[in-house]
Amino acid sequence: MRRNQILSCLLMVICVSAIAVPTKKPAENTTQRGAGADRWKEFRFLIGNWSGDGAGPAGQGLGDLSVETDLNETILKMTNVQNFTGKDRKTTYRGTMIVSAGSKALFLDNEGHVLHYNITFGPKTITFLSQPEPNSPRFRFSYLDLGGNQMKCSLDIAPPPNLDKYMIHVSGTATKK
Amino acid sequence: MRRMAAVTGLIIVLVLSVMAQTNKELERALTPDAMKTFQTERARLYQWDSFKFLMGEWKTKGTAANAGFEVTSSLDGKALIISNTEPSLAIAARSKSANYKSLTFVYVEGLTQKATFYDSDGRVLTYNVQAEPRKVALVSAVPSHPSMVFEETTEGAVSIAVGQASRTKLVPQAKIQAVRVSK
Repeated sequence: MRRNQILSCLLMVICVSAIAVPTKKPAENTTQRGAGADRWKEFRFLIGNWSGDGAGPAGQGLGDLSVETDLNETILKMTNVQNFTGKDRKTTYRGTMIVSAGSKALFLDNEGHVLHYNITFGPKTITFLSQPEPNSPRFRFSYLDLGGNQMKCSLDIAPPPNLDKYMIHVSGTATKK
Repeated sequence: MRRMAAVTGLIIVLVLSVMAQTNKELERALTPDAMKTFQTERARLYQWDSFKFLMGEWKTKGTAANAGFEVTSSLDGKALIISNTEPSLAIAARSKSANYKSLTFVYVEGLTQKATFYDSDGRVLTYNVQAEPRKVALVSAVPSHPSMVFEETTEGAVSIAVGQASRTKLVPQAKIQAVRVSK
């Protein structure tokens, strides 16, 4: 009898977990980095206005990236405008990334994508990795400081079901204006 | 003993049916008809009909001079931005400094209008959008966090209530009025 009760409880837990897994936790964040420290230290090389070119399956493009702090330095706003000349048409791609404290970012673009990113820092590198979503590709933006006001940027996409197998979508070099 | 076995069996059936339902939904989501319905609904949400009364620049009747907010379309209509400089709207924030600012990005995620709020106190809040004629509520996903309701009172005037949302209504902690400066 007792064994069955334990089994039932265990199944209940599994059941509740199975239902709870797909529910996304809201991205609430009220933590702040230390007020005295430079909260955007890792992003300093990125702050400014950039122009560059890129090429990939999406086409050949020229674009601008503007990176600035806002709201009294509590957020970092990255605005990207890219003009692509594809095989049969020209398109303008616009995207905005909002970075808040806690290494989280929200990305919106004019194609209707809404992506939530986690940010990691490496030597002279900042990587934005989108959170995995069922039946959706995973995106990875990387910015590598090349020095001399230059950086390498790339956007990689991992199509489902292999969300860790990235392919370069667009890659290029940008120069600070 | 038999009763427990029956309960266990019921739970297994429940788990399997939830899993089957989820798979069915995914399959349905991939059919051309479902995709067309999905895209039509998204196109409708991108019209931002419920926000039309709120678009433009507004001056608040608050404490700070020249304070107000502005609602603009961004990313070719795929998002709205509410930029605010009214300190009274910082009710739940740590400070009400004169240079208080906030930015709210409103967007469509899946088939839901959502919003993410950032302010100069470092707060980041996520909202679900609830709309009624001439009324838009940004309801926090976390009940203890502040929610906001924008409501048209007369032509060219809105009231903004900030407070905690219960299941049925908002319990306002602050209410301010604003008048339209420009569309």
